[in-house]
Amino acid sequence: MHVVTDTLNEFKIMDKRRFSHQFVNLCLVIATALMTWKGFMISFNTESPIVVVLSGSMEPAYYRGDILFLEMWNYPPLQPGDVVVYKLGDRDIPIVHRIMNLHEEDDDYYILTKGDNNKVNDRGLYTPGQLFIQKKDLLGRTWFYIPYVGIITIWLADYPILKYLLIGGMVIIGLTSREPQS
Amino acid sequence: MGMMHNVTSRFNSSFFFGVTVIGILAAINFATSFAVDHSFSASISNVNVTKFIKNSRYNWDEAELTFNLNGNFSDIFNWNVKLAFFYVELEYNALERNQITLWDKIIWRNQNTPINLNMIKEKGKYAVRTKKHNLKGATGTVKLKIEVTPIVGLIYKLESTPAFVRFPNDYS
Repeated sequence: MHVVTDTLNEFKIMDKRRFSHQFVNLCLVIATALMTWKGFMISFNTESPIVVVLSGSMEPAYYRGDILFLEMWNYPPLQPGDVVVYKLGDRDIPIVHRIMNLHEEDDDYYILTKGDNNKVNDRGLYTPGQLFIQKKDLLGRTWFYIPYVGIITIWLADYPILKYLLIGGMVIIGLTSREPQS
Repeated sequence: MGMMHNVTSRFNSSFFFGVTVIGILAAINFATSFAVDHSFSASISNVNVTKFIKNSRYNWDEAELTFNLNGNFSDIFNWNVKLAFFYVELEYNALERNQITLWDKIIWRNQNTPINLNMIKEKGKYAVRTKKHNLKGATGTVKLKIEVTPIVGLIYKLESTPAFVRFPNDYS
């Protein structure tokens, strides 16, 4: 039970000055995280620079829980073989699939996608009658890959209690931890 | 405990130390693999148009191609390669760029055997379907491209030298 008593002890011996110092430190951590995220958005020209794979339709290349970094600079230009993330109309969940065919027309792209693990192309997923997705549907193209790590965010989404535990834990650690000092 | 570190902060430090070590190892894995040779030999030959029709329902052209593909790809499967997505792509310009996948296959690192294909149309692989009627008399290139998925790191592409194809002036 040392975890609880030690942590409580830290709060007990905390004076105003130390509390505000720790609080500012915690804010700094949050601000840094936010800044990094916004910095990624600008650097990679996309509103979602990092996504977690949510379905198995791109197995075995990408599994549920893998992390993909996206960019939307279109250089080199989009082409078949690129794995893109797109969103359809008012549907919330973005889809990670590979470009199969691409037709350039009037400064726009007409793209047909397919999941590596699916037998057929994505026309069945598009809105009825839609034959291609276009630039406006795209969130980005994958350029960097880290396996497994994103499974944490899937757990957090599936079990909200974990989310509160994690955030609470981080706040407590942030407020009670000390810099190694003499 | 006084000014000593408490249990939560010990846990916190060990956790982040562990994450840092894994991160550094992953970075080394990526950095060392990126500098090595990725060259391969591949050739596409005997590209023929075997079927070429007009689809009036969707207002597009349809075609089927046959070709031979030979290659040896041992060098691209280094220690940071999880698998590679091999695909053959037809590109033709009718005013603007059109690119169509004809065939694809995923090859794992431990499966890296030479590829020899005498390809007509593998089951489930793809016929040419355009967006509009613009394939008549078009000339195009057929290339093997490879997208490499690493174990961790940059996703990158490799491509072969092109073979050429010319579509007939009339539907068959």
